[in-house]
This record gives sequence, structure tokens and C-alpha cells, in this order.
Amino acid sequence: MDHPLQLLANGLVVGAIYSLVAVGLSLVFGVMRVINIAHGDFAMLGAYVAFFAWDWLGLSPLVSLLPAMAILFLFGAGLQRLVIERVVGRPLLASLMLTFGLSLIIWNSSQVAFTTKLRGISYLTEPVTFLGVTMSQSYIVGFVLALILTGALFAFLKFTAPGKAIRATSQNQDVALACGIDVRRARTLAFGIGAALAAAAGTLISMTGFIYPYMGFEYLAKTFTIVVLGGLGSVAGALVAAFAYGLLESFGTAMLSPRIAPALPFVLLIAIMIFRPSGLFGTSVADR
Amino acid sequence: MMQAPVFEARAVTKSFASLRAVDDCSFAVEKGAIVGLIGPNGAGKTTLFDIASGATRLDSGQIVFRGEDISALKPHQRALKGLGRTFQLTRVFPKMTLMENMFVASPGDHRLHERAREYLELVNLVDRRHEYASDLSYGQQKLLELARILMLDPELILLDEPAAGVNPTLLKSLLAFIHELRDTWGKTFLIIEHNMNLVMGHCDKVVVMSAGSVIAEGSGEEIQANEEVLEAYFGKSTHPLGRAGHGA
Repeated sequence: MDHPLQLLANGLVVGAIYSLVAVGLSLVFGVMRVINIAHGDFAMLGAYVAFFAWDWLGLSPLVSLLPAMAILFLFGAGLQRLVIERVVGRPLLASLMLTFGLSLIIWNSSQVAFTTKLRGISYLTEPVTFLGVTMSQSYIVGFVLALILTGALFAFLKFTAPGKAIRATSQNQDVALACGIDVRRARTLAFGIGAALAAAAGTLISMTGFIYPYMGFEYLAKTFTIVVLGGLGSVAGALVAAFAYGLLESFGTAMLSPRIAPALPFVLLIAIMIFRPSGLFGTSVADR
Repeated sequence: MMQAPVFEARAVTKSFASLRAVDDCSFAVEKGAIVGLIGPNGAGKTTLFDIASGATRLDSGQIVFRGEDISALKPHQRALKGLGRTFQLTRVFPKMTLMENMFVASPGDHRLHERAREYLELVNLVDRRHEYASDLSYGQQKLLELARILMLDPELILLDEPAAGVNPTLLKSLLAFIHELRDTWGKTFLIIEHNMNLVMGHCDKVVVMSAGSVIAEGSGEEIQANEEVLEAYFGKSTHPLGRAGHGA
């Protein structure tokens, strides 16, 4: 077994990347009560933007991070305005079916466009050793960037007028309207931000792992578990749960077997569903 | 004192499936007035509020605000135009501080902090401005809701049952606040209320709805003497019925 500090570091790094995907998924659910099955695919698209920027233009993922986020923001916002907005306020099944369909379209088109070949970017692969923990630079950079972006999201939600509009819409749409907030715009903005953050995660994943057209579903499954653990719609809960998930995965893989480890979060999820249905740190849906 | 109407419902009609919730309903609210909207349960009062604020679309008719037909505007556009409302069950943003609650309702101006403090001062909540709204009592949340509306600088404020669930002491300060807003700030109020003492004692005009229509309109005394109103509330009866206080 690896050194516990190494496992801790690994867990925190993947946790930070999961958190980037999870906060967006939770934000979107909070604001429009839509579980976006296509959310992981935004991460996949972001990863491919980074890959092709690297492959064709020679741009480092750190440079293509912002354009990837901008492209996916526009893609997400457009998708929300054109399609997702139609199922807001409808039964959950409608949005599940819709976003599942969207996911299939995005995923299969990507397979045609990008082929199923595993890709990745070799960038900042030089390892760094500190306190007995060895890690490639790309992981460290990815960790720091993920923290910065998540922090930026929190600051945006807390301190800016559009951020407050998103929080207000999430807490009570009718009152937000009565306060003069264009809730439709808030929803579009939230969806775009969620897609942009997922794209950022994808860009970071392109440096630290493999990218392939169906990777989105893998991240969706993980982050959906995280979001439920953290309490649906709670952005702060998603952040904490993402780190918990990362650590569980890291230690679980080392201490048990890599085959059993992926089941651990789901064991935790089942326990949560039984004993604390509103999530670990969650508030009830009405009290967000 | 009474002036041109700031708000008018013109032949407003709204059906839900086969139920005509609001049926050819017309009345006006004059500038600077406190108007009470009363009627038995199911008369269509809250539906009318929802139509006025834009939460519900009308089938036919017009909502006129400051001389402009706003029937096609979205709720947030009406709010920004100066039509504020509160809800029957008070609604604040529980996971926001009082100040944040205030900031949500702001068309964006540089005196934001100053104004938010000023209004919280008016409702005696300024000392708690950094606490979460969920920590307030129900009555205090009502005051916060009212203070928050002021951030929009509304000309007309729709209050849906302001007295419900409020203790007598707080009700007194709520009423004093409403009068102050009217007398010194020139705000206009349209109030749904079941507390007849409040309606008769504080409203300049009372509009009575029954089964979706306006059946009477006038001063408190006129309404209390109106046969049709008594009938709507109590059914046909030969007994000389009581006056204020017997309502709800």
C-alpha cells in the first residue's frame, strides 16, 4: 500500500476535479430542478477542445482552458435556451428523458467526429516529490486550478448581482420574480456556468488522464453520486462530497481492491438514502 | 386626497379548466389609497393578485398600471416597473442574510447598501442585517418581505393577508408601517385580508369579490351595510347580521 499521505494527495486531486463537475450539476438542479444527464458530456467536450488545441495548434491546456470554458458556456447556454428551458417546471421524468437523449446525441456524434481512440495530453509530466508524496506537475496544477475555479464560482454566487439572482432563483423562483429577477436569464446563466466548469474539468482531465467520447457518462455517474451525497442543489455540499468521494476512491483502491473500490461510494450512497435522504450536508429541497 | 387610478383591473377573466376563478372583474385603485380586497374563500382574490403581478396569465381583459396595459409583461418586468407584492405565506430567501435578501430586489443602483439599511431600520431589523433570514420569526420575515419590496421603489404594493399568523403587537407595527409608507412616501396599497377590523379600520376603500366577480365597492360603512355582501359571506338570512368583526 502506498504511503497514506500519497493516498491523501491523490484523493484530494481527483476530488478537486470531481468538484468542478459536481458543483455545476448541483447548481443546475438547484436553479431549475433538472438533472442534467448530459453534464458529463460537457466535460468530455471540454477535454476534446483542449486536446485539439494541443494537437493542431500546439496550445497548452492551461492556455486552452479559458477558450474551452467560453465555448462550452455558449454551448450550454444555447442548449438551455433552446431545449432545456422547455422542460423546466415539468415532471422530473421529462427532463431526465430529454437530457438522456441529448447525452446520447452528443456522445455518439463525438464518437463519429473524434473516433473512439483514447487520447491524452502529455504536459507537465515531470514528477515532484514533497514530504514523501510524488506527483506529476500536471496533477498539482490541475488541483490548484480546480480550487481556484470552484472558489471563483462561490465568490460569484456570493458577491455579484447575477450570482445573487441565481441563488435567489434557486431558493424561491416566485419570490425572485417578485423581486424583479429575470429567472429565465438566471437559469440560462447557471446552465452555461455549469457547462463551463465541466469543460474546465475536462481540460484538466486531458492532462491527467485519458479522454474518450463516452468518458462523460463515467463522470456523470460519479458526480451524480457526489451531488446526492452533498444534498441535491447544494453547491457547498457538492464541493465537500466531491473531496469525500475522491478520498474514498483513493484509499479504497489502495486498501481494498481496485475492483471493490468503485462500489464504495455507492454503498455510502445507499446508506445515505436510508439514513439521511436529504444528503450528508444537505438541506431539504424547500430549505435551500 | 384620492387621485387618478394607479392600478386598474379591466374586465379580467381567468378560468382554470371549467372553473371561472376570476370572472369579468373590474375595479380601480387610486393613487395613495389603501384599498382592501375582501371576499369569501375561493372568491378569486389571490388569483387576481397572481394575474396583477404576472404570475398567472389572464384569459381576457387588461391589467393597467400607471395608465399602461401591462397584461403581456412578465412578473419580473412588472416588479421593476414598480408593482410589488408579498405572498400569502411569507417568502424570504432563507439561506441569505437580511442584507442579501434586500439586495436581490434591486434594479441596481449605487445607493444599494444605504437604502437596504434604511429600510431595515424602518422595520427595526437593521441590527440583525447579517443574520440569515431563516433565523427570523414568522412575523419578522413578513416585515423583511415588506422592507425588501421597498428596494424596488414600488408605487403599488399588493399585500396578500398581511395579518395572517402575526401577533397583535407585530400587527400594530405592521399597520403603522403601512400607514407611514402611504402618508410620507406616497405608496399605494391593495390588501387582501380576512381580518375585518383591519379592513374596516384602515382601508380607504373596500372591494368585495365573490365567485370571481366584484359584487361591491365602497367605504367600509357602505360595504357593511350592503345586502349582497352579507349574503355572499353568510348566505341568505333574515337575521340582522352583525358588523365588523364577524367576517372571517
